[in-house]
Amino acid sequence: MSLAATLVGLEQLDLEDERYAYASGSVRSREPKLLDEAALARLADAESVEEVWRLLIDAGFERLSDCPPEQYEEALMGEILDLYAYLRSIEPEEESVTDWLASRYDFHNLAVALKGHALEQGPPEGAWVEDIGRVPPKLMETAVRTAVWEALPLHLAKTGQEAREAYERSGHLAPIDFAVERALLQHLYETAFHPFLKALAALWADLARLKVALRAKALGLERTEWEPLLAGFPMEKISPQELKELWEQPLENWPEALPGEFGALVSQSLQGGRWDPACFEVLCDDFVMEHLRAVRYVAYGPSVIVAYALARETEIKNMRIVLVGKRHGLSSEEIRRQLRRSYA
Amino acid sequence: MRGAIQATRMELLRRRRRLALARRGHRLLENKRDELMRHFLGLIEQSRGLREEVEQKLAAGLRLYLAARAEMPRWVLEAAFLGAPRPRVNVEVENVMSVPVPHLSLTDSNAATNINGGFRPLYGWMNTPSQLDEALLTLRSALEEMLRLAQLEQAIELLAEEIERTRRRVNALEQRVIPRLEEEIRYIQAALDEMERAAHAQLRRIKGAAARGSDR
Repeated sequence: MSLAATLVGLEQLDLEDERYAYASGSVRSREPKLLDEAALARLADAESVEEVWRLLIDAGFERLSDCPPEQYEEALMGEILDLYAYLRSIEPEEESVTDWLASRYDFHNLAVALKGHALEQGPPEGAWVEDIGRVPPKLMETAVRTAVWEALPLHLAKTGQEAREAYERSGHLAPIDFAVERALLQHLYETAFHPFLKALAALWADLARLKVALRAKALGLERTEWEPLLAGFPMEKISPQELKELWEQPLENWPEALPGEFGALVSQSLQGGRWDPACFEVLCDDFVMEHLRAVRYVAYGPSVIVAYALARETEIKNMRIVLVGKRHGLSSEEIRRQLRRSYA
Repeated sequence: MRGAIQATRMELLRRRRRLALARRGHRLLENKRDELMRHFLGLIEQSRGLREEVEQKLAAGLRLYLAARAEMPRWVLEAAFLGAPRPRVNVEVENVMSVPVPHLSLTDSNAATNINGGFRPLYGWMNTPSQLDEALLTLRSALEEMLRLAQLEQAIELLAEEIERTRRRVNALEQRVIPRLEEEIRYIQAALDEMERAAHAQLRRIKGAAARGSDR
């Protein structure tokens, strides 16, 4: 049974959870507005960025009509802010799936605060993500600067201390990012209050671990350099031990040694024996989306909200890919290669 | 000017020595010019190839960067480049055929970013696409080659100046100094010959007078 089927099966067991009935209904009414594959193809084939902008406004992204295409970053950020404001407005009071998702932005802000503090300079304003996570960036910055960790939620305080220690041990900034990213995956896994969320967090962790290993191999890092990067991920289908054993082997041998679905991702990214990391990343995102799409057949539950939120985030990512590509003259073919699969 | 020349044997010897020196200098400068020219043409050829390579790498690096940028919102990009190493350029001077040529090399502000002669970006890998690694590696390699190109082009400029200077010296020797010395030598030689002939004639006259005196 595929993971998608497992997820749907788990969700069906949760049918009696009526707390999400209103939220799920609201989300379902919005899902038809998501850009489908045909709409994405039209965007990729548009003649200019202005035409893309017009197509998006026609598709219902009214916020875009307030600004010119040059301000696409602000407009897309506005879309994300709108999305999280909407999710908070519909979710049940007892448990927050939005907080679970938004914790990614809190961890991002924590990394920014730690790196800014390590550099003894305030991070640029554009590095912060405001109004999505639970902890305001200013509070985060103050807590990191003064080392008064009690001001932060426990998971962020613990991560902050660990990341700072990692930085002090190495003297480099990268360990801050890696410590924060590992802690985020661990946090998502541990705080997942529903089997669907648990399975999704485990899938993210597995893909993240595989990506780290493959990226390190592509960069030619020594085993001693990349091994610490893999430590601390939630354990699921791919163990660090398996990756260590695989490391010595050529990439051609990886597909067979990895669990089926992950092996297929690596195999498809090895085109003519040449490793294509960009293709692998697109396939990984599409793989997650494939699992999210299974939620379309679920009546209600937190999975409906999460799938919609991630579908919208993917849609915004696709919009950015098209806008940046068109602005800088990338061909339709190049843009299409980068586009992620749509939820719709 | 000829009036200032003393038509003496000493002066003739001095002029001949100067002419020999000028001819030797001319030959040496011609050799230097030819060697500089050969080196110059080699550098031109190298710089042409390198420029093409730099342009290709820059285009590829920027394309990869664009692809990476398209996948990252601004906040991810800004956070990723927080504390990114700032490369520094070291300038040393090398001597190529007595021409001081700058030697440029690149160093990171943070030496630990170098791995196996490569470059490890200082950011997390969860939110950043691997195309960003490739873009930075390609752009860094392009930067190194741009420095080599700058070094080559500066060397070409300096060599061109030196070739021009050498060519002017060769021409000055060839067109002015050597012909003038030859002319002066000819003049002194002629003057000396004239003096010798005059002395000879006078001697003959004296001898004739002496012979006529003894006959009487």
